[in-house]
Amino acid sequence: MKSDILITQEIGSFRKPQYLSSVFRKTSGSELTKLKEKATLETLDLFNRAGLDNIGVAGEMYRWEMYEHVAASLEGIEFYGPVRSFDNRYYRKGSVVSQVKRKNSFHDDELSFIMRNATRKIKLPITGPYTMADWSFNEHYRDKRDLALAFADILNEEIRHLYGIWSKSRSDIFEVQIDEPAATTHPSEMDLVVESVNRSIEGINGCEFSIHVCYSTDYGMLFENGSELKLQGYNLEFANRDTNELGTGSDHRKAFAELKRYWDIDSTKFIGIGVTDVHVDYIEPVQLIEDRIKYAIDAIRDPGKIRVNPDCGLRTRSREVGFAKLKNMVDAVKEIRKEY
Amino acid sequence: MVKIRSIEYGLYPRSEHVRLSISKWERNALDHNSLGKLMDAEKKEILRFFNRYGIDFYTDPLINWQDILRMVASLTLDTPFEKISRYRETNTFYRQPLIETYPRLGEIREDESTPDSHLPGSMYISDNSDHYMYFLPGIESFVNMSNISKELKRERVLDSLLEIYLDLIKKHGMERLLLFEPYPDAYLYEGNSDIFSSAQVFYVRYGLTDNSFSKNRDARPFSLIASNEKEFKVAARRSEVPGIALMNGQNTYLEDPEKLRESAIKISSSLKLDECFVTHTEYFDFLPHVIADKKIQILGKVGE
Repeated sequence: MKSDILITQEIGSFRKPQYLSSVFRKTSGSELTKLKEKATLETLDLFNRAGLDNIGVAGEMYRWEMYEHVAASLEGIEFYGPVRSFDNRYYRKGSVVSQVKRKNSFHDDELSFIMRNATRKIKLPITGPYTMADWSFNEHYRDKRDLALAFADILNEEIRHLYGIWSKSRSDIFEVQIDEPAATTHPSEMDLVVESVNRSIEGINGCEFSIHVCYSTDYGMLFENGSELKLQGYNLEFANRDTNELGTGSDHRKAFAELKRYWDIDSTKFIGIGVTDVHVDYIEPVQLIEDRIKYAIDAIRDPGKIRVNPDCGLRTRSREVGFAKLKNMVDAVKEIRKEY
Repeated sequence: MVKIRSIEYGLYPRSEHVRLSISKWERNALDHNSLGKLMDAEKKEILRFFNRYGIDFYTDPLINWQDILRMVASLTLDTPFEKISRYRETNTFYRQPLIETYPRLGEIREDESTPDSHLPGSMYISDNSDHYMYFLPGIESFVNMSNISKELKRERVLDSLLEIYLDLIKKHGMERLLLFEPYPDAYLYEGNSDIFSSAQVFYVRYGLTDNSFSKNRDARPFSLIASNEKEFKVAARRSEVPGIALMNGQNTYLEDPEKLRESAIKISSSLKLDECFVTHTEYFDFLPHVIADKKIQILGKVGE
């Protein structure tokens, strides 16, 4: 049985335990760090029990939210209050009021801790420059391009710093996932997505870079421009738009139809397919996930190019639901691996 | 001198108190009734705020609607909401209605509210003033934002919604209605004419062109509200009192009310208009609450 195909991974966030979420914004210093470490270890244990090949950074316990966490480490951004994502879910969207500069590292403490404690593969998610620009109110820069490139330079600085930490004790490749959920929000700005993401990773060796995009109206535009992206893979969402019917035919798996198109455009990159929906509590049965993966294998024809993940971070689900979804995902992959 | 009046519309940002209360309700730490009362009280307070700062026309703040479709969809469809869909080119999402049978008007039941359907509280809370407007999502947008079963005929879905809307207008005694059309069809749905003649309708329609009306030339709402100066010319031709969205509802930058007013006067004068409405692009729920409140104060001054 090949264990190096269909690598199972998560995308990033996981629901924080109540003892951490209830005090995250009210506590600081060593007291908060201890709670982050405790929650990270508990989540790491949960991911290990689920059987994930790549544990990410064990659920982003060091971060409250992907935009805010980075923005809090920068000068030039003011926060006036939260804005709505959907339902009663909010995030704090900053206003860029002057030149943005990096005050301190966003992720070195988290990376150092996970490196000391994880025995499985690690992948560090980092919010991408285009998303940072798109999710900010811009009161200062001439236009969005200037803002996105300013963020790209900051991210480049951060990734170099993190790679410095990694390479002091590790010789294996450093996996970095550039989170760009905003990437396909504005079809006319794909050039800027490519330019800013490439600039954020320019000149950095020793890393495997992937891009995470989700809830796109059209992955085609990502793939068509993706050949210009100087990174090694995509981690995408599909389950949210798929039916829950069993079957491996095109009629059942319409949401994954773009995979066939992708393979025609750019077969050099790997692709992480979202097989479980993170916005509902429905626990996808193993058979359904198997069917989704089998369709993907049929489309891409090389299981070594496919990784398997939830659509996005699991932080909007309870820890119990998150675990059940991951466990079924891993079990589905185990079944399919028996055939290789 | 051109008469300038202000309009505020759509979902207003929830206060921290409301957000925390909803979170408690989701965890069953607050009951339906209490949250419903809180929502209604908060809506009244927001309407008083709009009034205090001189907004000429304002809609219900819709803080219990979850998104522009959810309340109406809960009332008219039997199927649950599942899929999260991106709202236009923003980072805000709505739950896409699934239309598997032709919509029909039901009753909102408090005990059936869930985070996915609608929140407790009244659909509308009117202050019974001459400033208050009801709000409905445009019928074309409702259909374009939904997932419709292939077994259904699109035209019949539109017509079913029209019947429902006319019933709602009657049921609530709507004198003034703001119809919000962010996902319009190429051509105006002809049923809109019935809505235009049932109430004083302020119609926010994105992508306004004369061609939009080419299949429905006689359609004429009280006010057509345009997103920019070019579309304003169409609005001026096709409504009694046109409106223009000059304030940016998606940036925290605080505009100068004098400059907004001057722009409105200049644009209206160039078309020899006696009056126009000034409003914002998109509804204010894309902004932090404190910024929305400041924009209200600015908008109120534009209308002076």
